[in-house]
Amino acid sequence: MTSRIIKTISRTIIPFIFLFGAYMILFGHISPGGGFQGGVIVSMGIILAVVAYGEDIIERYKSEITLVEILGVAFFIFAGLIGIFVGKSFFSSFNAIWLLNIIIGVKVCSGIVLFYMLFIRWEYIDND
Amino acid sequence: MKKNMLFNLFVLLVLGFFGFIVIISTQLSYSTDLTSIISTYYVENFSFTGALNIVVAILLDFRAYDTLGEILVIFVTISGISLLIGRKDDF
Repeated sequence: MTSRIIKTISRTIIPFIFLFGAYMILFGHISPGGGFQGGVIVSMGIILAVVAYGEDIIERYKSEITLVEILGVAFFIFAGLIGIFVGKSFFSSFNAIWLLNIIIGVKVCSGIVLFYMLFIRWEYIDND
Repeated sequence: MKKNMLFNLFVLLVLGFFGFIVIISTQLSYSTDLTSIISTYYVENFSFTGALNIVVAILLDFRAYDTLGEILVIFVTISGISLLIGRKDDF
């Protein structure tokens, strides 16, 4: 499944994918992009690493990724509650769209990686 | 078969009638114009949200509930997939 070409090219290109995804997340409020798209791009970099180097490099972090996924939902709801604490309504404007973008980006990234890890297992089972 | 279809059509008409009543009564109770358009409000006032990107301003400020539902959809989907094809020692 993997070859030396895939390993070399992915080792070169993965830092640029991470950089582009981080740019999309962090600059989502002043340029085209956003948390969801940036999270998907970062997760594509992780999936490319798993394709090239095998799923053993990500398998040991599975419980941490699941924890990030669950905490992302909780932090998004808490960020909505900030609007109540400053005297406005739920999810009202508090000039922190970058915060919501970062939360959504991290959460979507971990979610797509979890999707991939749950489905790729059956591919290896069929090949063995 | 024929009678069942007629009954379904009757149910559809009744539900549509009540939905129409709800929509009309809601709009009249807020005394809004039924033909008013809200999208021009977004275009003119999205700058006070702190974003220069109008798409992000609508997604994360005016329609933040929609984004919350979108996030919960992914979360529930991952929970269902883990339930169906996950191993017991996974998570």
